[in-house]
Amino acid sequence: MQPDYLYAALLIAVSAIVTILIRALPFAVFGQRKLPDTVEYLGRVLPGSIMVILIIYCLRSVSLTAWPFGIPEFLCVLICGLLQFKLKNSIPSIAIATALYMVLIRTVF
Amino acid sequence: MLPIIFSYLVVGFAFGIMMQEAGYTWLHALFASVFIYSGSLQIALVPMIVAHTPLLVMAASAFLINSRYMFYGIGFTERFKKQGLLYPYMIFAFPDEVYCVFCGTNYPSDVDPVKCDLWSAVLCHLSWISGGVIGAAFGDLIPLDLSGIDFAATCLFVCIFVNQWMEFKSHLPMYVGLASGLLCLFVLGPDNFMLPALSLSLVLLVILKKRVMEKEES
Repeated sequence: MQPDYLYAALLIAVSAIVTILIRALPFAVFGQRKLPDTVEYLGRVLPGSIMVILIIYCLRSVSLTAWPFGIPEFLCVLICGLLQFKLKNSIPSIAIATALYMVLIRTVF
Repeated sequence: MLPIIFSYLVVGFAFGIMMQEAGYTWLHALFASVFIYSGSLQIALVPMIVAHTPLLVMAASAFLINSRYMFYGIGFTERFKKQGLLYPYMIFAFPDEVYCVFCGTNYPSDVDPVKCDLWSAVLCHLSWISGGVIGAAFGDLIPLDLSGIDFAATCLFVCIFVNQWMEFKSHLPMYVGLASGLLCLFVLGPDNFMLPALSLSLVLLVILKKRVMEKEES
């Protein structure tokens, strides 16, 4: 199909506007006044939940029923977590686990 | 920070290549990366452009894909306000990875945290934009196979998770996230689980507030 530049620009604009509105929402709701107690509490504990959900989100398309059953993904997530637990320094943890993942998906799996 | 810059360059680059293969120029990639600045939405956008998706359907999809951002701002209002005139920019330039960095930052005491926040946000945005533009302009010239490098984003989330685990006494919020995430994933499937999972964990956290706070303050 012939690329339609104007139409593509419109789709990009719509996506941008929707995204900006979503991002502005919590600031519009909670930005003006003193934070209610519960919102302050949520601001503290929500990242813990969201991080787990984001990890699930990253791994959502991993197939558990077909080879390699997500082994490279889960193995590297585990290694990354253990490294971070020991080293408390995210740059080596991320670099080692990502490099290992890239090697694994090319060679073993 | 460094891992994000690399992963942004590469994932942005992947987006640029997708745009180029769909027949669009670096200019489209530039506008998308500057103004949308959301990896998951931009990657989903390319096939939707090719399929000539109607604008309203696009708007609804964009909302569903990115609705998780609604939860990110909670807890950052006071911190971002310190940017003064640039407050709106901080609200805008707030994708998953930047959210993660901000959740995990413990700046050394000799640097200005307000400036650090701003520069982190700007650097991430710039690396995302450069990745997209370079990919769309020169993607076909670079023969390197970088597939799998986007796994760095997953690792980043894992690292922040571990930091949070060590920092907080109550691990209930993590279990809440795990339970609601897995439940929604299995019931609703990989394409629709994010918003319900986030909402469910928010509700559960409010219900469990007393227990979490007791543990935290013990």
